[in-house]
This record gives sequence, C-alpha cells and structure tokens, in this order.
Amino acid sequence: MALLKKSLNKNQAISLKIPAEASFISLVRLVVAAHLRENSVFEEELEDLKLVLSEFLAKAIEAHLTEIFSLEISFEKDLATILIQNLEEFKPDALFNSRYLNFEAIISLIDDFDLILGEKQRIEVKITKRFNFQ
Amino acid sequence: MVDIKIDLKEANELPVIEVTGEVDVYTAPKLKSRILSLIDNQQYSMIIDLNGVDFMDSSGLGVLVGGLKRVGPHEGNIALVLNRPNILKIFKITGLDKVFKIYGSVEEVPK
Repeated sequence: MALLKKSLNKNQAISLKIPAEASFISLVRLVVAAHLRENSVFEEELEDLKLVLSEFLAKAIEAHLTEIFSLEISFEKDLATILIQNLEEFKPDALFNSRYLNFEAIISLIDDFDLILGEKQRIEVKITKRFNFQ
Repeated sequence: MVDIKIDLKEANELPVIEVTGEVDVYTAPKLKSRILSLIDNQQYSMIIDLNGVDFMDSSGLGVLVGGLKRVGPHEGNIALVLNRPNILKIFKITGLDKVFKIYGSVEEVPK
C-alpha cells in the first residue's frame, strides 16, 4: 500500500490586492482559511494564522502604512507563507502590540516573522506558519 | 464581506447580547454600540453570548474590557457565554479569562 504523505498543494500561490480598509480584512481571512481548510490542516493552527493576520493588518491600517495591501499567499508542503508588500517603514513590535495581545504573544502563534527591504525602500513583511494535517 | 449580527434577548432577568459572526476592527464598533446603549439605559449587568462568534481579535477584547470598566463603578458585571476553543484561547493568552466570568451556556449564568 502506498504511503500517502499529506502536504499543502505544492507551489500554489494566491495574489490579493485589497484597499487598506478595515472592512477588507475579513476577506483576507476568508481566502487563507478557504485554501487551508481544503488541505485539511488543523483548525487551531489555522485560527492562529487568521488572528496574526488580522492583528497585523488592522495595525497597518491604523498606522497608514499603505493604501493598498498587496498580499502574496503561498503554500508548499506544510508551510504557508504570507508576504505583505509595499509598506512604509515601520517598527514591527509597535505594529503587533495591542493592549491585550502583545508582540510576544502574537509571534508565538506563528513560526517566523521577517522584514525584507523591497523596491524603492519599501518594506515587505513575511509571515510563515508550519501546519500539521488532520 | 463578513458582517456581525447582534441580537438582544433576556435570560435570568438580565439582558443578553447574542453575537454571531466575526468580531474584528471593522465590526467591533457595532458590539460596542450595543453594550453602550444598555449602559445608557442604566442596565449595568448583562450577559454577552459569544457562542456564535467564529473569530475575534484584540478589537473585540478591547470592546469587552471597555464595557466591563464602564459597568464596574455601578456595581454591574458582564458575564460571558463562551465555549468555542478558538475564542477561549484568545482570552487565555491575554489573561482575560481571569478578568471575565465565563460560562458555557446562558443557562449556567447565575441570577
């Protein structure tokens, strides 16, 4: 019997451009969740990623870091990577800190968080999370 | 776009705000407005039923804590009804599970 090893659909990527407005954050959650659910990842891990994304996007809107969010969401094996492009310079801890969820608490829900200098001195934020399958 | 549904009911002689949907930076003001309208009507004790909530971020937590602070001086209280693991987790990692009284169902909330 062939051993079936589950993995996220290889090299699948979703590009999303949305206005940097609060009403569009749910759309990002929906897109990410829809794809990951298709791949039978653990719901708790998916919820963690949704929370981190929401917190980050809400703060980025509040700080007026961009007018349009350009998101590149890619999945490979057990890894989901979300690249948020074209942001103004910022301090990441300030963006993740809220009165209730501090930077450390939020970062603990994902596997990695990177800042990358993009074109024209704009910043890209890379959020990665490794998933287990049901 | 995902929205939020907020109904007002009554149980144990207390008003019950029943929330369905997602509570984030966009929808949290609607929940805040409903809590404040009860407080404006001098109803300082209430139940907020979150069992229909699929998602909540820190904006939602902020609204709940804000409500609790407002009813406190009037010897009121906000009891939360919540048994969804993903939402309970947010209360646990923020320590707010020790600030709010959380029940599994509306029926469990004492009079």
